[in-house]
Amino acid sequence: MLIFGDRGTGKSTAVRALASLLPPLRSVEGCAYNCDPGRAAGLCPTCRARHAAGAKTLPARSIAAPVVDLPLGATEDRVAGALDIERALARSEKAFEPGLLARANRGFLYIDEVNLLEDHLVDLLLDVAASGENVIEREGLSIRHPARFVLIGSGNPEEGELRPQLLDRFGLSVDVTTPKDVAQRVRAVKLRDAYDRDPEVFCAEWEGEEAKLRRRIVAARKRLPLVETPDAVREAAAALCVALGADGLRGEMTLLRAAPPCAALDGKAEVAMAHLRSVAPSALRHRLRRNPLDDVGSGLRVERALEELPV
Amino acid sequence: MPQAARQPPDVWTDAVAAAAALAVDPHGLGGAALRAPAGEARAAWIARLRGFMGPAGGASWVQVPAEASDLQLLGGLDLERTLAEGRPASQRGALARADGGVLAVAMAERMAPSAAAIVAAALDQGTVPAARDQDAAPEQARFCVVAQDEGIAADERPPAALIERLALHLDLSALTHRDLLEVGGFDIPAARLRLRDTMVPDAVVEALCAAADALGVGSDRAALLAVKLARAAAALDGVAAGEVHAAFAARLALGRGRRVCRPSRSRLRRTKRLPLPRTTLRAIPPPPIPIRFAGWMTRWCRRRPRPSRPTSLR
Repeated sequence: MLIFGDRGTGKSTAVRALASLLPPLRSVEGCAYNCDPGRAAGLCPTCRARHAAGAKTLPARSIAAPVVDLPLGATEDRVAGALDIERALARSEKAFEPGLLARANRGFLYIDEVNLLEDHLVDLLLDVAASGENVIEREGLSIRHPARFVLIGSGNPEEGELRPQLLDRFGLSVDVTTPKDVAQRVRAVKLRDAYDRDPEVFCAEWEGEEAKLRRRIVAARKRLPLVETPDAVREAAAALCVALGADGLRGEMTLLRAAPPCAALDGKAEVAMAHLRSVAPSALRHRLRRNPLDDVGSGLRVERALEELPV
Repeated sequence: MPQAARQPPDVWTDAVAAAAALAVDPHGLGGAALRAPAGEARAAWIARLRGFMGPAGGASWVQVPAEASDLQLLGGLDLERTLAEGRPASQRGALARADGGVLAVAMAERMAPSAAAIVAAALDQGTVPAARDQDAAPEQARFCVVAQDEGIAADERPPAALIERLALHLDLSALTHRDLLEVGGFDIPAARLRLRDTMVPDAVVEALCAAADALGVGSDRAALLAVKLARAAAALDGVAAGEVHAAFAARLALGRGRRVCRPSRSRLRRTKRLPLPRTTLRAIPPPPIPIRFAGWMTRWCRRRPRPSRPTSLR
């Protein structure tokens, strides 16, 4: 997901809040990759070896969904993992030291100012995010470990453009604008100040609301495999992409993947046009070819195309 | 804070009061972006801040150069000692050592964005970011930053990601040694005890948010830091935050360093009216005009009074 917005508008706060809202994960004790003890398929090499050696159930513990921050000057070594120099120097052993991708497995990887990140790093991250596996072949190491995470990038588009190929590989985009309403800003500042003064009391106050939202998300997750997409909605999605001239098929695929969770959250068993309309701007806004002479923002173009769709 | 409500705010008095407020709530305020050349004013301010922060040996003061590497900031394997001793030796990073005190960055305008991002992450989380060992609890790193900006030109500034998180924006470049008067009357330990219970009324919060909006400061963080600064100033006085404290916070936290570059309407109008300097006019080739009108145009141009050179750009 890509978040466009100025500094200080609450982007990383929202991402961390999301991670803490989700129900805690069960992970194998002592595993650097947060492996799921219940699923034998997606285990890291160490856990797989333990499982094969006869351990029926791997010892598990409960952790919160990990949110890993990618610092701006990160090198490929730190991100993907590299040779463990300490062990090599001290014990002359060749071992793999997991990087940030390993820690972000089954969680979120948050990159601030993704438009300033080096291109080869963004390529690496998008490849791993798409395939779900991190493959290391360097310095005599040959490692393959699971790395399924949600990549969230944020940035100010005025400070630097992301290449269109990279933009296209992000699924959804969100536009965070500075609140024009002073009352909204006052409320945000007051809430944050209250949290800073007494975090525990604040969390206890809002625990009820958070629990309600968490239950909704868990119920929607259970309902998701049963949600059906009727043909009319599929045709409308295709018509929308053709009307907007979005390149490639990713736009359409994202639309059809994002609409069912919307319906599941609503409690419906079938995707309706309203759900398609609600996800269309965030799925398509960043995929359109921009005419430099055209003043109209991409979000508006999507909305206009939506109005012309048959209901 | 000295109650000098009737006098116009003085840069040095404001700066010393800001140092006192920073000592009352170092982690909450984030720190200070101090724009001043190396000299008496800067040395005097830093001495005041160190005096306020506590007796020597109390609060730590860690100085880092602008080209500090990841290893120096975060800590990790000390390669030299490891090779010398033959077993892994780690070094504590600057961020961990500055816990509870001040991280002073020299020549902050040359700081690399990556180093600024690491310090900003530590300010946000209150711990050393991206600790190497996942299972170990992250090290505490609650500190405030003093970014010593020695830049001269307007575009020589510390990285925006860091400046954004510092509440105080001070410019001492215009001060001379004659302006460095004694400003006293700050009781820091008592203010620290009072800080949690100091009230900031809704009216003050709304006034600061409205001021941020009017000044074109889009960031909510700036407004939040202004509120915290008003609270720290009020704690120094031992009262609930009032108009004086709000004005103080607006001067320092919503000041020049932070403004979004949105030119005001009057500035736009002035820029449009400024005539081009003569050299530029000569460099622009004249547009092709039909022969019929050429003579009429030259006669008209000669008759029109030439615009005079602007004496001052106001």
